[in-house]
Amino acid sequence: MTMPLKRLSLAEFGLRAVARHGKGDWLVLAAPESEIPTVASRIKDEVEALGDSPVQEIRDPANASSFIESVRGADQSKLLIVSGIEFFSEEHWRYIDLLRSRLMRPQAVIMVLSLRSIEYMVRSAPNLSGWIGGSIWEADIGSEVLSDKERHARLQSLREWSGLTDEEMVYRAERGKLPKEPEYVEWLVLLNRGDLVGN
Amino acid sequence: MGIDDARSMAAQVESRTLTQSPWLPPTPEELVRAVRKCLLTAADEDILINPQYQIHKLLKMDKKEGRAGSMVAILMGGATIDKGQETDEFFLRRDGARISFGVTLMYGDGGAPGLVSFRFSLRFPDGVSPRWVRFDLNERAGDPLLEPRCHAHSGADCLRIAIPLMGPTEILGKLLHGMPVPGPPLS
Repeated sequence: MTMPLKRLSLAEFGLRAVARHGKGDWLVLAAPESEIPTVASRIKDEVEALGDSPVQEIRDPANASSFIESVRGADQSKLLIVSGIEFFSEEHWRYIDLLRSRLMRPQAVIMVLSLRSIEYMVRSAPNLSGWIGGSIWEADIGSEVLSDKERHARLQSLREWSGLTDEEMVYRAERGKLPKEPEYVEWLVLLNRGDLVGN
Repeated sequence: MGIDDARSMAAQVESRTLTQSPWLPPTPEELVRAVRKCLLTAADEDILINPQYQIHKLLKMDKKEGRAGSMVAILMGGATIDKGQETDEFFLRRDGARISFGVTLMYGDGGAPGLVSFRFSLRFPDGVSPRWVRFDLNERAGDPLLEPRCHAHSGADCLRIAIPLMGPTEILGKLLHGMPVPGPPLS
C-alpha cells in the first residue's frame, strides 16, 4: 500500500463494522502477520460485545476455492470475519476476483490481512477491491492500553494532588501507612508496584 | 445512643454492604468492553455528548503483576483528578455534568476477579449544590462510622455515606441516568 492507512482501535473498527451490519459491505483491517489470529479473535469479541450482531469466523481456508465456498456456505444472517489467508498468491486473488459474484451476501465481511496481502488483493482483484473501496484501516492494537506519555501525565497529576513524591508514596505503602483513597492504589499500579496493592 | 453503639452498628452495615460482591467480567478486556458499551450507548441516547472517537480515547487500561502470582488491572475513564479544571478529559453529559472514574481490580491465580478500589466522580455545572458527588471504594477498611470502605460523598470530602458495593457498570448506570443536576442552592 502506498497510501498510509488510517489507524483505528479494534473497538472503533468493531463499531464501524456493526454500523454497517446488514449491508453486505466488505471491510479490511490491516495487521502485522503474526498478530492476525489475535486481532481476528479480538474483533469478534468487540463486535459481539456491542450486541445484536451474530458473528461467524472463517479461519485458514485451504485455498481460494475453499474460501469462496466458506463464505457462500456461512450463515447468511451473520457478520463474517475472515483470517488466515496470508498464503494467498496473486493467482489466488485473481481467481477470487473472477468468482466474486459468489461472494455477495447480505451481511458484512471483515478480512484481517497483512499489508502484503492487501497489496496482492488490490493488484490482482480489482473488482473485489472496488467493493471494499476506502473501507481499509490499519489496526491500532494497543490504543486502549495506557501509553508512557499518558502514564507520566497521570503520575504528575497524582503528585500535584497529594503533594507527595513517588518515593514518599511508595515508602508509606511499604509500611502500610498509605492513605486509603483509591487514587493511591492507581498510583501504585502506574508505578508498576502492583505487589503493594492489597497489602 | 453512644458513639460506641453507632460505630458498632456502622460496622454491621459495612459488613452487610461488602458481603455481596457484584458480578465482574472475567478479564480486564471484557470489563473495558462492557464499560465502553455503556458509554457508547449513552452517547447514542444523547445522554453523553462526547463523540464516539473521544469515548474510545478516554477509556484506558493498564495491567501489572500483583502479589503472589496475581494480576492487578486499572481501568481509567477520563482525568485522574477532577478539581474543576478546564480540560476535555471527561465524559460530558448533555445537561452539563461530567464524569470520570478509575477502577482497580485484582485477578487471582485462576480465581474470580475482585474489586480493590474505585472512584467515580460526577461534577455538576457551576451554580448548583452540591457541586459534585463521588462513589468510592477504598482499598482498606477504616473507621466504619466515619470512613466506611464503600461510600459516597456529596460535595464534601469529609462526609462519607455507606453505600452497597456495586460494579463499575452499575455505578455508571446511576451516574449516567440516575443523578440529575440539582436545582440552584436556596438563598
